[in-house]
Amino acid sequence: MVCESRKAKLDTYVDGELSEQEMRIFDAHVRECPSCSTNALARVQMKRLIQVSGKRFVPSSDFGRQIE
Amino acid sequence: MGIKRPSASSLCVGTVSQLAAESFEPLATPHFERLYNFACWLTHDRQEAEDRLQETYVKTLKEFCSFQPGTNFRAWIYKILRNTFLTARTGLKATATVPLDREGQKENLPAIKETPESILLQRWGGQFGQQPLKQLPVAYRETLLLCEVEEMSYREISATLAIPMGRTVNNGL
Repeated sequence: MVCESRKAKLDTYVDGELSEQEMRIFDAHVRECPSCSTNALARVQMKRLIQVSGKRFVPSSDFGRQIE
Repeated sequence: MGIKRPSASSLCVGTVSQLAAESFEPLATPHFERLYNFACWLTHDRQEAEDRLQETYVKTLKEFCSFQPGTNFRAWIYKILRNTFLTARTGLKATATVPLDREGQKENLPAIKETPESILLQRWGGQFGQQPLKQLPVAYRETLLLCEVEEMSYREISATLAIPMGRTVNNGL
């Protein structure tokens, strides 16, 4: 289980959107806390899955010609 | 890939000056393929995506004189694409993130405690695939795509979706 006090900010942490000071504190905690580090890793993996599956559609050459 | 990007001169906008068109092109063309991908995810239909993207480029060029140099062009053109999509779906000018697509009308948005990520995890059930992403309500799908695929900051997403930063964090991420 993720530490309740930090659960709400875990996504913000893995997105790199915490303030510099918050990031330092959170980072130090994640290094020490097995549950938070596991959950942070799971979120990072999911971000990568979304990134890969989200890059899906490529415009056709016909559309490129049509636009031109 | 041999795909020709839209050039300013190819878009039939008679009121745009040559100078504006020349400034527009280097800003707009690098986003063409990513905008197309985003449009496809919004519409779930390649033909509609092409139509919306064409409209987006025309509108962006028409409004280019109001663009402030040095501000975020990417957020601006994505915002225009999104509003073009929502306007086509609703017939109304879109200014806020609301679940307006077909699946969004059928499905209640999850409780505040849930996030797009948690919903995806539930639906994926450990299986990798694109279907769960496709099935997310548009309000969540677009936020995830802008964050993870387009790698926009929360501030940029907030500007694109015309929602406050706090809502970006709570609603989408």
